[in-house]
Amino acid sequence: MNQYLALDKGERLPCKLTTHILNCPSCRKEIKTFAHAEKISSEPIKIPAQVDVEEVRKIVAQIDPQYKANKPYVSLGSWIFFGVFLLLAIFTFNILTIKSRVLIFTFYYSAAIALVAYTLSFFACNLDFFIKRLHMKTSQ
Amino acid sequence: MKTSPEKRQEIKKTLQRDKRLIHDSLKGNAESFAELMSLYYNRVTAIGHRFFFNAADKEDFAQEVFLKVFKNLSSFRGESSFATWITKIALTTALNSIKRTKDIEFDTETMEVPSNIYTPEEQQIRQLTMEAVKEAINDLPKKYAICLELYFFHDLNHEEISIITGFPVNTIKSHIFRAKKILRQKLKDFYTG
Repeated sequence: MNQYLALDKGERLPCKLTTHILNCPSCRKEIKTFAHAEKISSEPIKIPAQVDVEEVRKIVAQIDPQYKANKPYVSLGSWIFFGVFLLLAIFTFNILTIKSRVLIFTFYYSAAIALVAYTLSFFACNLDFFIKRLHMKTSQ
Repeated sequence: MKTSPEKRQEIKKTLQRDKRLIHDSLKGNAESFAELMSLYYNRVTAIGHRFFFNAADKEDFAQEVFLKVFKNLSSFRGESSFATWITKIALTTALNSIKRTKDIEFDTETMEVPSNIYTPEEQQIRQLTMEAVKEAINDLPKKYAICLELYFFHDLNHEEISIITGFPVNTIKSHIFRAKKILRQKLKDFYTG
């Protein structure tokens, strides 16, 4: 048993000791109990704590102002600009389109694809923002 | 020291996870740093509970440690585990804060543990471990008390404790061995009644 107690954390059991443990039920039981006691003693430090990301960002920004630049944020300006541009393009194209069935069909088809792509990419790029909004609403 | 394959696998996984989080934190990802903080928060506060006795001091201590960790994150080379590195920072910070290393008392009452993680039997076993450590510490020069705490309550091995405290591995090993013998006896008494 002393040989076992002299071992370090996570150290492999020597062959001789393994053989002894296999043949000695009392040592086996004692080692099992001891290993369990060691394991549970350090369990509290392994539990992840709840840490607020916004708090972390604030603290870190105090010592590193550059960190603010890395903050992911939703740049709505460019999205709005592109959205308005898309609508204007659709409207202008609609006025200028020759009254041909094929062209009208192609136009609406491409406009629908462009709008869906725009919406999907907007959500995909800002997914983090929407998740947080959703989380805040449910926690209120 | 020959490490068991399970332990080696666990160390490897932890190292990979920490490297990824450190890399992302250094790139400016606050979420990754928050995750790193969350994983090691209890380790840091456990050191805080050991040295400080009021909630405000404990909180200030944890914040100071994580600020230091962030400032020095780029200097972490991965030569030791992140747990060892952060514990060393926490211990140095605590010792510098109180500047009374010789008067530190071991107080098991200050170690806060969530009540729901243990069964009543496990709670008793943990209590026995605390008593054994306390008993072993009583016969030691006070400066070695931290070695036993780091081993039993912070899941650090002899070498890691030596890196953190600067004491020789063999000295640490012999003190821990003594504490283990006391714990063995206590466990024996507990189970045989």
